[in-house]
Amino acid sequence: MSSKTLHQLYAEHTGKVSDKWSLYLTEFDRLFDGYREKSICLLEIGIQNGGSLEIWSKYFSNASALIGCDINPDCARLSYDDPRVSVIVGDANAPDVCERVFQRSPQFDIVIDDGSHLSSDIIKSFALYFPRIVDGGVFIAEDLHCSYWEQFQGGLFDPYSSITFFKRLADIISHEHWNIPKARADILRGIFTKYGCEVYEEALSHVHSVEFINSMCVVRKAPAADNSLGSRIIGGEIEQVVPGLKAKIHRPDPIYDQSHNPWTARTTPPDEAIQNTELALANAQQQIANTEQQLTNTELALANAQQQIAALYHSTSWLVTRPLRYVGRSWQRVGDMRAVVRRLLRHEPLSALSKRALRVLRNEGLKCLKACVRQQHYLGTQVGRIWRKVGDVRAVVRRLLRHEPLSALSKRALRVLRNEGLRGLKARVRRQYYRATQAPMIDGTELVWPLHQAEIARPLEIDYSVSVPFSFAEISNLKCGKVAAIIHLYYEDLASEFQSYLSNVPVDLDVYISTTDAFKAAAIECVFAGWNKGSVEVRVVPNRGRDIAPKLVSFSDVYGRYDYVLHMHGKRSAHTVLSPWRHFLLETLLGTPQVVTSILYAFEQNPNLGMIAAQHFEPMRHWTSWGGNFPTAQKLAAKMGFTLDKREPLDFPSGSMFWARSLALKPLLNIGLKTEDFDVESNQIDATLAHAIERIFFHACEHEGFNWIKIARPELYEHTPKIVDVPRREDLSTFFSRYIFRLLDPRGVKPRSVIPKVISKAAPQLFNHIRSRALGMHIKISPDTRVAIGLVTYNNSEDELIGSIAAAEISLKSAGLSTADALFLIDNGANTKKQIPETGFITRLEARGNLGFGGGHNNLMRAAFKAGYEIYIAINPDGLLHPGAVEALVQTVQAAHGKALVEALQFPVEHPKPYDTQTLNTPWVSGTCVAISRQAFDDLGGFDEDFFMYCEDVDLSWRARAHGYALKTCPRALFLHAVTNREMTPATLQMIFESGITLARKWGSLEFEKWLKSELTALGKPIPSLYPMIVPEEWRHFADFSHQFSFAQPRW
Amino acid sequence: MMKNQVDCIVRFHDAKRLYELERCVFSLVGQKHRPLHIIIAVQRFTDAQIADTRAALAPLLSLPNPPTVTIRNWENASPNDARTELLNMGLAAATGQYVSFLDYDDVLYPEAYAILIERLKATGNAIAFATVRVVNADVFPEFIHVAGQKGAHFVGEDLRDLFRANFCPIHSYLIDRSIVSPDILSFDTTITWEEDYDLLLKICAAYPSDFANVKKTIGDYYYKNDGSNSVPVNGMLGKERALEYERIQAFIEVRRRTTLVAPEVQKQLGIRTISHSLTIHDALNAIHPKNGSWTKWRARFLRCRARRNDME
Repeated sequence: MSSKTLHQLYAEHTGKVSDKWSLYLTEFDRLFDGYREKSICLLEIGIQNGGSLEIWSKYFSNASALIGCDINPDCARLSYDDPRVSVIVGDANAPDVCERVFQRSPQFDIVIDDGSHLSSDIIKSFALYFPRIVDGGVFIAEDLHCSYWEQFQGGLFDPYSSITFFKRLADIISHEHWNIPKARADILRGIFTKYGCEVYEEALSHVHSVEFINSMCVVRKAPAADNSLGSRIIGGEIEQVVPGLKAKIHRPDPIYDQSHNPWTARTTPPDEAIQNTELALANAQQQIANTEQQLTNTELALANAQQQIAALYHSTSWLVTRPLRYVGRSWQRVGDMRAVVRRLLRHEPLSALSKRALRVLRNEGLKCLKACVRQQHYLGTQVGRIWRKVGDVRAVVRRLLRHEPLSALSKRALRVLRNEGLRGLKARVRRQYYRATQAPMIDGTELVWPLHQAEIARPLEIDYSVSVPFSFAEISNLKCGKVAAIIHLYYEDLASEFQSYLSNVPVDLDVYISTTDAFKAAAIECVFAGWNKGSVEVRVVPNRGRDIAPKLVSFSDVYGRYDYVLHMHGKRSAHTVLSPWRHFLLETLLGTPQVVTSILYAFEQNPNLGMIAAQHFEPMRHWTSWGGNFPTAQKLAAKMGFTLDKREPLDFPSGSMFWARSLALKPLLNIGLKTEDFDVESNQIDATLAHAIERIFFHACEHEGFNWIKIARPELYEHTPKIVDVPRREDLSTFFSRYIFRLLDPRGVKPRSVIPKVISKAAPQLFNHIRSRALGMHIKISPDTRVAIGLVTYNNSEDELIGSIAAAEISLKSAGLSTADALFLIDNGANTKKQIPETGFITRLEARGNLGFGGGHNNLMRAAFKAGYEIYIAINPDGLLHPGAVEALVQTVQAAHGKALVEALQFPVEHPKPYDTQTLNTPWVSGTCVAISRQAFDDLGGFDEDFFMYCEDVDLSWRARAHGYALKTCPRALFLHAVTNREMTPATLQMIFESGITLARKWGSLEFEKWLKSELTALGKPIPSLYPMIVPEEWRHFADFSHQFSFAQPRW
Repeated sequence: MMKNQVDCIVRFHDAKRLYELERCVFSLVGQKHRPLHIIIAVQRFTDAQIADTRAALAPLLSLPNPPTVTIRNWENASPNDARTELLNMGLAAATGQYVSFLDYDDVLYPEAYAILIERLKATGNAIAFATVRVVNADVFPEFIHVAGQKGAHFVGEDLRDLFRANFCPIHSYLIDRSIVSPDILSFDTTITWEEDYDLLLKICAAYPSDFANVKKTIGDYYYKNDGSNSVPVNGMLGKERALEYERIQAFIEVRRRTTLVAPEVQKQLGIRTISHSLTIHDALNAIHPKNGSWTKWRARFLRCRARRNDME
């Protein structure tokens, strides 16, 4: 017999490989000390290379059987010289395998579970094999640290983990002290139910001890009788400290009944109860969220219906059929009248009635007679309604009286009246009335029962996505085929945003954009004019089929020329929850060059990969359903040559933005779709051909023989599990091999049965990304960037001018920019040469009289851009640039690639017009302090000099929007501007009104013009005779004259 | 005492909020009035935090004709909330004729001090009042967004209203130190709430005050969405807070009942029979225009206010 320790045997072992933690070997030596000489039977579940069986054969030299069981079919190749050693291949918990094991040995002394380490497998193995262990034997579960990990069905407080199971066994040892009629198995009921196994009471009564060692649990078995406490044994005679023990020996110990102990009497262990409650709560929350979503949809549908009604009222058919309706109504009135007469005749004969009518006619005239008849009619129809309402109120009162007497009710009403006033009392009564008559309510909120269509996505636990960017993907390592972006922009003002995101594509990129009219196309072309990564083609397409028809039909000729295509569109979701959806998709698919590099890398590494889409936007994911699109999708699928099953899980690139290998879209491109096949646009929210196609992109990709995956930037998700990190190249391959899911071959995967929590808002980090991107926080300004500051003076005080110029110089320096000749100055009023000393900072233009605000700045801009400056910042001479303002402005301009006019934030009192705190977009930019790029000046031609002063900035802004430029407020750039407590002189008012009239004439607002004319007339001033060139009608929707001189809904 | 100089005492207790302090100081740099001395009173800052504060403000102070800046640090371990002590520490550091207060997260308009000084000079009064606007502000890591302005928040017109209740935020007035005795010009450190109102009661009972510009807005009070507005009694919640509020109300009422109103102030209030033993409380009872006494009016006012506090 070998007396070597396991450490020694492992050290000397040269055969098949086995690995065990060092602590295990030490503990096994201790645990198996009494077994080494015996003729034991040992079963080891999970043997890998089989080395442990060789070592056990040396260690237990007298063992009668050493059986290994492993699920890996390759283990069948393992052979041993020792006839006592045998290997069974298969899942140790499968009935047939179990049967084979028991054929080799019906009982065991030692069972070691070193299998999958999944909680379910360990517990099932215990349930199967523990009853087959002889009394005095042990069951050992190895590597229980896995039970703290989600990946192995565990977690520290997981009520169904293997470690929790063994902890419960520890309670079972002391079953006789529970003092409550409860079986041992009762406390394991939840676990057994979850994993579909059972250990009978009799077997559990043999659990003698449960020992925990790091990552290991040892359960010893002994006859049930040996596991009880037994009788009290007393030795000795002297009871010096605690007397009476010897006397007690013949009396039974008191039994403390625990039936009323809440910790003992509960049916479910607390951890399981908590989980059940949390699940129920999550379900309830989801139901509420579903309800809210339903309500939103209903509101949308209502708005849609109202629009349709409005359209119907103005339709020709409605106008044409008016006479018919009139006849119908008249006929109804005649009917009503007959009913009135009949009712009257019930009370008095016709003669009396006629007489009364004649009397009324004679005394009070026809009008009064008509009023009397109307009154009768009204009484006939309304009284019943009122009576019904009274009945309802009586029901409410009756209901209330059921719970408290009238006196208490009155007191309560008086108290409410005193504390909350009549309005509060009325509101409460209304609520009660509503409860009694209408829908159920919770805490004052009406519950609308969900009509929501069931989700049919996969369970969240297996809905895998891959985390991007990959740290190992480098563009230099890619071959990079030809890449095109195919984009539909219904809203041309999104062009600059898309241009900015597309700049993150680190390879050559041809851009194809569709839009719905020539003016929008011109604006988009203007924005993409400087695109230097490839060609740009803008096509005008019918406004039909949303983004799908333009991409798949209008650009169907494009796909063949490219290896990869990016599908995007200018999604603008009005609903608050979904409004960040477009940004979410842009951030996920185009957020950074590294993200795009990762996507291209994935395509290149896996030739079978056909599509890459974003994991669902969290507030959107619970809409993963067919909606009303299955029939259309089914027809499309039939055309492509495959079938759809409504019971199978669905997934699709929600938002219909994705990257694709062109070949993967072939099935959809080849079915001969035409624009006319698509529904006419009428703000549909579901059940159109476009919605159906959106849902079968992945199916089409699979049908063509490709796979698809979803990607995710983890920081943009708060409630989405299974975002798989791929730190190394090989991890990406592993992802492809393990987590590819095929909708056309789901292999038994069913749609989720547990509906995940509905998410009501996007992750905060998304907003941080959007804001940070708009602000250009990621941009480090090159010191070579040439930024000029423009100042048009008009009789300003010396202090004002010196302060303004000094602040400008400091701000430029703080941005790390050159100040040489950077301040361009022109005097519109008195000459300032004496006040402002000539320095290397100032480039002074010769005065040409008062050119007006716009004229002055146009001259300065021309000079500055001619001198090579890239950005011009116009500032008012009566303000101070904050030291950090220039840097912030330049970053924001550069973030928009020069395709935005960016104003500073006036401080300390901001202009009341709004700005978006994420995108920074604003309806117009003020000329007080605004940054204009050279491209913008070239495209827009600067300020319109028809405006002498005031409103020229509004005009420039609206023209900029018509050219596709964005307008932004940079709230990090403060411009101190004294505008408070200023007197407005009549001359100033006149100038404002005159400019307003020019603006109204140029942008076609007769109403605004009319108002201002009346104001000027009231001031006793003449109406200006200037009629500027009017802008095209297609531009006029950018103008907003509905808020007087705020030109936008003001914040205050 | 530097003639014509304004000392502005800025309380700043959270070194992480340098951005807001910097905005506040920028609004002071933009003041049309000079000379201006900014006293930043900080609470238990480390040397590094003080250095950071100086560094953050340095670019602003490089602008032409900048105000001077002094930083004073309250280094004592107690009290935990030294807000009142900070104000007194700032007052001790004041060297100019005029003194004002401003919280680090609020701003003043460029003409604020010019307007108030003009009134002080024109009237010879000890204190001049204007008003401020309350704005709702969203705080982002990179900037502050003014979401809107609140309706009339500080309602009151004159000295009578001020004696009844405080409607003058701490940055809406300017005090002439050459008139106000140092004994009066100090905050009572036994209260951490309404300490500014207590000071106003003392000053305005002793010296004539000017309310001509009380409808003129000279600054903004930022009501921030991140809950960082200074909380009067640190850590107090619910009932404890209500009790403290009651205690302070009682303290203020004692001030009203024990503070004598100077004869010239009585004249300002329109009291015809001048008395040398007239307290603020007496004066209010003498002048209250409505039927029912000041005491009743006050009880009603307190009820309403308590209800509003509950709602908030």
